[in-house]
Amino acid sequence: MASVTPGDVALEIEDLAVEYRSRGSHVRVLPGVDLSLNRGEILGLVGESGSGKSTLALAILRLLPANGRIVGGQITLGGETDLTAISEESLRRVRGQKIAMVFQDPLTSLNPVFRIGSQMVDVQAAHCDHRVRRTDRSEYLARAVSLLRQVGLPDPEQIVRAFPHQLSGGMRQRVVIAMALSLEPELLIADEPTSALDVTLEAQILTLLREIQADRDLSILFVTHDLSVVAQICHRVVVMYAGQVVEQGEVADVFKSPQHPYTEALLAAVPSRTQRGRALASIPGQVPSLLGELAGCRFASRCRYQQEICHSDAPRVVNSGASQAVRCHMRDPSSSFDRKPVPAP
Amino acid sequence: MSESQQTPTRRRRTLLEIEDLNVFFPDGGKVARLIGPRQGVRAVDGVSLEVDESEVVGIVGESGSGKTTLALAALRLTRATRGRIRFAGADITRLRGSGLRRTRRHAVMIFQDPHSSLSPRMKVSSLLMEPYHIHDVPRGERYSVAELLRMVELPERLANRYPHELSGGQARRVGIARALALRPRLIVADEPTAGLDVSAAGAILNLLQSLREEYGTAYVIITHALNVVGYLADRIAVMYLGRVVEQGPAESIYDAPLHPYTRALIAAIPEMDSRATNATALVSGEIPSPRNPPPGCHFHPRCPFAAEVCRTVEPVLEEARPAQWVACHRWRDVAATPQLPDARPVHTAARSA
Amino acid sequence: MALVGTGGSGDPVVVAEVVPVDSEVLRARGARARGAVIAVLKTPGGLIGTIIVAGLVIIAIFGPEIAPYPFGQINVNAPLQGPTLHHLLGTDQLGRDLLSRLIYGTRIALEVAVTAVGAALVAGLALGLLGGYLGGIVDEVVVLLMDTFQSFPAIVLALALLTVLGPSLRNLISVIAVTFSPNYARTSRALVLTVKQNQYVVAERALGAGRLRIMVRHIVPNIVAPLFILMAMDIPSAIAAEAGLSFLGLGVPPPNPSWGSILSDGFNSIYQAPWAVLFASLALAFATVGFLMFGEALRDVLDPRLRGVSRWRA
Repeated sequence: MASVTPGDVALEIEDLAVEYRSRGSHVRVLPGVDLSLNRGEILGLVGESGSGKSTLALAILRLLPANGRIVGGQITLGGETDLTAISEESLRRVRGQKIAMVFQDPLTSLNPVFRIGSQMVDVQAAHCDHRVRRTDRSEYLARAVSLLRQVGLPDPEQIVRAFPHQLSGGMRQRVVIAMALSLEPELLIADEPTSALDVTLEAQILTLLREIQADRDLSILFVTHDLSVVAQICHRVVVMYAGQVVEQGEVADVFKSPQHPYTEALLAAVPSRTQRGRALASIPGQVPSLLGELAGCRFASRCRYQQEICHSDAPRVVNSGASQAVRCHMRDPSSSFDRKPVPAP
Repeated sequence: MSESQQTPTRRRRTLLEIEDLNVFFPDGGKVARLIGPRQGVRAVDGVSLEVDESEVVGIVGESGSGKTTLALAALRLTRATRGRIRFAGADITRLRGSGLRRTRRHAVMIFQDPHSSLSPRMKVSSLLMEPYHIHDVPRGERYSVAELLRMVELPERLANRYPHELSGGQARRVGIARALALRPRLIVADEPTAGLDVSAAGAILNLLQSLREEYGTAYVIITHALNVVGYLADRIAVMYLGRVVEQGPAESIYDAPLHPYTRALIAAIPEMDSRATNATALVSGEIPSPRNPPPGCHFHPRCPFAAEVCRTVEPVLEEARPAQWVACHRWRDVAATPQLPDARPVHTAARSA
Repeated sequence: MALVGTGGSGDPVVVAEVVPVDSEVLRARGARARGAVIAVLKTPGGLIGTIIVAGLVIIAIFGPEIAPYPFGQINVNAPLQGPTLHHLLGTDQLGRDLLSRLIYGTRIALEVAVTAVGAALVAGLALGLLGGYLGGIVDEVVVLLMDTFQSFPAIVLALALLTVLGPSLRNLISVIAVTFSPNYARTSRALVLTVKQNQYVVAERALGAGRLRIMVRHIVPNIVAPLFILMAMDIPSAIAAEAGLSFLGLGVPPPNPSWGSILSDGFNSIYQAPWAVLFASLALAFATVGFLMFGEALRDVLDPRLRGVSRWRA
């Protein structure tokens, strides 16, 4: 996969902090996340449950649930607009038009009582500046049909007349993708778009996304828990653990020589036939509770390389390996981590 | 941890035998079924399968393949409309009452959703002891709650919790512990790693592997994840729309799959080692509804090798290679083709410029 | 509960007592229970309802101690008196102290209502369970039975049965229970039908559990909660039913001072001495409204929570 020349940055997230209010107490799910998505690249955002990846994705468009709030940092779109600061009205214009989102379950993303065509027309009409005329609607419909064809659906004229429940899961996901593209956004956020799909279908949707991205020079933030999907489709990858970014870099580099112990453990834990008869590396312990203060490295208690310093001091983010940035004492030459027997990266 | 499990050369005894099993779910109520043609879903369409003692058989398929229904029917939890089931030599197809209950001591099931398969108002300790109460196992022959929890690597303090007070991984382990309590000869595990994080899934698989080594239990692992099955199974059966399309030793299935669907499944699994692989979809379209399967070979509308005969004649399983069976008219051509041609464009119509 | 295991050696070994629950879970459970209680008390209806119910229960329990006179003590010299120092609420036509009679009436009202509704719950639960789980002809019979009972207006049914059986405390309770049970049977049956599909029932069958075991250990505990809430909401109706039947003379026989019979006695002299009617009505109104508010608050708090078991992990 050719690496992307770092052109402009499509989306820059700086020090983003998000809190959830739960029964009177506040849980800081994201303490201060930095992430940048370049134009025309597919960035994978990987993490297990509790890592905060979905929270991050929702926070970008301020779609957090009622008890969630952005409490710090900024999200800059296209180098000019701070999404955390703009008004509801301006944000509404960003949603769909500049940034579109695709979710995991296509069935709940579509309104069951309206036909597909009607929903696709509505999306376009909602972003129209002037009063929607009849000629506008027929134009929108024609666009909808064309988009459905582009996402690989046969017989789109039939599909626009259908209701969501009349379509299969794969078709629905394609419809949702088509809807997301209808306003020609620059950025697409895909939150686990293939997790609910069968393997063969997943392969098709991934192919589709790759084609779309290439055709339109779209930037895609691809959120998933599945490392292998990241390997398939992403240019760069960001690995999250307990609300923090622990490693990011070019996919090829991260997968060949992971710099963070968590990434390393994740990669080793995936079963495959090449490991028959051997025990799979599993990560002992559990994700730490985010209530209360967390001292030191959040992964320390589960890390096979853990040392005293890991529990007391929070590690910095440093450059390491071929192209990665990693948050780990072991890779930080300036930390007092005892490096004597260090495994070759 | 001992080295790899070689397929043993000595013949083992057959533990579970499924012969031409059919499970048909008719539509409508009692009256509707009497009038008119039988409409419904043929979830399992003539499946035969054998599981030997201490063997691990993986049943692989995507949604609609009928794999879960097959397992439920084999364990007499859902009614088979035709076929025979034999366990340890005895025909249990129509067995009822105490005879069936005795069988249940030796053939247990671990369900897909760990939380919903544990009775919500019972504590873990009661749940673990329940199999002993059901089967009147004398006190001296029981494992203790603490022992069972230790076997699945759970801390003792979980004994007094209710299922909703456990995490997904913990609940799953409780389900496994319950299955182990009676020291069964066969465990059917339905998607043992579904919904689990990678690290938790790895731990569960390690557990199943070590239990197998220690107790010699036979497993039937039902999953859509070929990599799970590749890690654990001796033999694999691939199902599509209620039929077994290929079965054989795990190695052969992986190295030399003969059925186009198997090939597509294997290719579709994203591999992490080969980052250069842009696995293009090797099969187009989607699984049709099991309500209206295509005639002849169910797979033909999506198959790059489909020929006229595939549209009309249902292929039967034949032994293409020693111990490897495939149901495909064109398997010789498939075997001869080193790499699958690109999928027939069922769904990609001409794109607008 | 001591557990015996075979360890690895085969010799029976007494393993330690089951360890107590870990403290975090205990705390979470305690917090949930406290949270429910606080939630009920936070609503105005819940607070008032709880106070009234608590008050009535205390009166009912300690009735004989706090009543100034025995309820049957006749004093022909002081009939139909208004509130005085000796008789705080006055007397009835036989000179009996109204306050004492009303206090004993509370006992009767609560005793009958709770017992009757409780019996209805048990009977309805059993019938609904059998019909719902066993299906087939059993189900048809249960449904037919319940439909038959429900098709009669409750009053008519009660009147008919009581006339045939004769008024007595036991008959009263039974008859009221009969009129309430179809609701429990229907609800229970519907719940059984849904719970039956749950995976844990299949899992138990897979372990070899028989029907009885499944019904008793796995279905009943998972369906009783809504039935208890129904019970809380039915008690006010049962109180009113008992009062009504006693008013008609078909309830507890005299001289037992059911509020209904106090009312009916009092009607004869309502113009000269309206006290009996006034105070008995007030008592009835208080009790009914109080229980109603309590039941509703309880339902609002528990109903949604019943389905929402929270995963405690952070």
